[in-house]
Amino acid sequence: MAVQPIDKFCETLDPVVKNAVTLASVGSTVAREKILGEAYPESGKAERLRELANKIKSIRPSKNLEKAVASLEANGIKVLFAEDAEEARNLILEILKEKNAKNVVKVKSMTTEEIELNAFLEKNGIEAVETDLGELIIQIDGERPSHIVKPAIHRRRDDIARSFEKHKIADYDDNPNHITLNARKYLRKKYFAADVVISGANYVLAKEGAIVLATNEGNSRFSMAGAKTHIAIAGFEKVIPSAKELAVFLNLLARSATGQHSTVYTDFVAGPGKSKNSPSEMYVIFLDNGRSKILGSEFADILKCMRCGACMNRCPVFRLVGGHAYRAVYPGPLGIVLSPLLAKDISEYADLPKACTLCGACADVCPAKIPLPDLILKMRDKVKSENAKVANDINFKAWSVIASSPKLWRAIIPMNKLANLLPLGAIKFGPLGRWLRTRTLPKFKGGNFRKWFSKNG
Amino acid sequence: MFTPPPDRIKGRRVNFMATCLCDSIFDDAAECAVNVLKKYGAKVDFPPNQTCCGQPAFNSGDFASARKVLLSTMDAFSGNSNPIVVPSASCAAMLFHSSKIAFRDSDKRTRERVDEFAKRVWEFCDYLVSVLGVRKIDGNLCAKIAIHNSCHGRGTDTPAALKKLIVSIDGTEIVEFKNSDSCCGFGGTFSVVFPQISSELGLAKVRSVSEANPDIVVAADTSCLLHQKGIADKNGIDYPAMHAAQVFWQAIKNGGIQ
Ligand code: SF4
Repeated sequence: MAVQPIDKFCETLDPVVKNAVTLASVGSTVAREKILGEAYPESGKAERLRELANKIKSIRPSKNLEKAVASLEANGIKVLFAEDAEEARNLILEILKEKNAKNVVKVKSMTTEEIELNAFLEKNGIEAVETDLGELIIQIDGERPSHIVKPAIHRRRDDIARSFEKHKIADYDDNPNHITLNARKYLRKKYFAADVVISGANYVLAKEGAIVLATNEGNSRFSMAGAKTHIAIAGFEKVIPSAKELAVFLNLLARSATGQHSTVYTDFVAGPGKSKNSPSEMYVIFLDNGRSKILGSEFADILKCMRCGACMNRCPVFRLVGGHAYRAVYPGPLGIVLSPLLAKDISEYADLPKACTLCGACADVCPAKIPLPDLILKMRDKVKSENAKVANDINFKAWSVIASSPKLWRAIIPMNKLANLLPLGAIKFGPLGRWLRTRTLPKFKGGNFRKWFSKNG
Repeated sequence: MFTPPPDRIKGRRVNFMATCLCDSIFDDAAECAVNVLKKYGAKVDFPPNQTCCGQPAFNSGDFASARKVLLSTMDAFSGNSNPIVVPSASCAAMLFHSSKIAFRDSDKRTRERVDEFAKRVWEFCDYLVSVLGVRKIDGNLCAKIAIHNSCHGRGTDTPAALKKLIVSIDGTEIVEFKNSDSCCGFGGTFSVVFPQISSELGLAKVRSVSEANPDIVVAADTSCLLHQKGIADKNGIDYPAMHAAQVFWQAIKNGGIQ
């Protein structure tokens, strides 16, 4: 029996990992709700803010981008464009070669995950060290983030301590404070040795010509203190009109992501620095990688995503299986829409949009008010109409003939009572078999209601 | 999220849509719903050509099949323009929200027809409160009740209506349970396409509900309950699931005032 890969993943996932992911996601959901309630006790205010966040990103994205380029350049920042992941990687490599850079420090960025930068740099003999603790943990083990905000959500402290020992970062010590201290010690040396810092950008301010980085560990500032060159890479949808609109986003981002009023650090980087403790050169690379195509499609709303992770924290499926189940860089409700769109071949991720009960909880928490369930349904339609094969797909053709013919329907429905005579337990295959493996079925009573209504209605 | 159109058609003469599940399995829920509607002043018609809301195909991404069924359903109810009352939050959401997505690329006339149809659709509890103005269910029912809010009631008035009506019954007591706002994992065809995830979610739901020890588990949908009860049975857990209409009618019968 062909099995859905994500369902299979769930079946074989270590219960301890499952539990870790569930606890962390539920915890973040609760924290989000609490802090939003604290910040906006007046009913409807948080809601209006979410609506604003949605609206701001709908207004003239190309105009904003044009303006951003001009202001960034006016601030002495070199602006480059990358059509796809490959071009982005090559642009970065060129800069690194030109600077003769051997050591790179990285500030957590999902966009660099999207272009699979680390593996590429490694292949080219350049060490790029992740400086966010969660990212560092998964990097040393060659893993992918399992969550867009908390990349090591699936890891436990004892196995993190073991990894640190294995990779000679520190002796085994699973005290969480010591894990952090050990990482800090290890990273200090990397900051001093760094030639270049590579970051993403949570926002790009079109009017001011600056990028905004929201972080919690101070690693972005350390990274920028050591390196001589700063490369920031961002999808063009990260551009917002000005610092004024930024207030809307900053009021929502950390609250939705981690249940903090704001991230511990919010960096505004508006060009190369003047002191010797800051990069003397700065690049911003705008990445397309399928985004302009999305912008012109019925999936445009997904570009309003601020990568807060609230939707996955709230998603019943994600809570059970974690991000690795999705195979793609972006998991959860966001990912099952975005990942197939970004893929070169949609059939690679054709099963993703199916991994959803359509409960709608994600849309309730999304700070950008993206209608995720609607987009997920449209993605199912797209996958189907592009003929991508998905395991366990049920064929509805015959059913639709019956259900659109009242006469046939009336004739067939009462016949379901015959099924009561069957030994249902013996059915092992097909949809019914999959139902009965873990569930019973009540007695069929086809047509009874119609009979009753004609007498009593 | 599954918000109905703001300008829905009201009126006391209604068409009852049984849904395919009540047509084939839960006849008692549908009977109770009709009894309750009549008791509170509705005049109920049952257009015989009705079949299904098309949701199984729609949620599986087979929009063409879903449209075919929806067109037939719209035809079945075209004899009048009265409200359509559905004893299911999920089927109601399909008819007043998702149908618009299914037909989004169709011609203007069809889309207008879908929009007009959407305005007629009411979930049963919502209709009782918002149109018939029911404030209190008569009779009595001495029971501790756990309310399962089906996900497709999100963004509608159904959860508030359901709770209000259950609380209004003399003798009922609502019991809270953990993670009451999380999905039970049914998800229509999701339940058989992702049987592992669906069952794990279902078992978690059934366990947290039964920890609260309710006499009745009530919902505005028979579908989630079918899944939950099926899982509970398989695990030897007693699970007294009832559709809202059955609870209301039971209370009315207990009062001897039907
Ligand atoms: S889709 Fe919405 S909730 Fe999910 S990560 Fe993006 S902004 Fe956050």
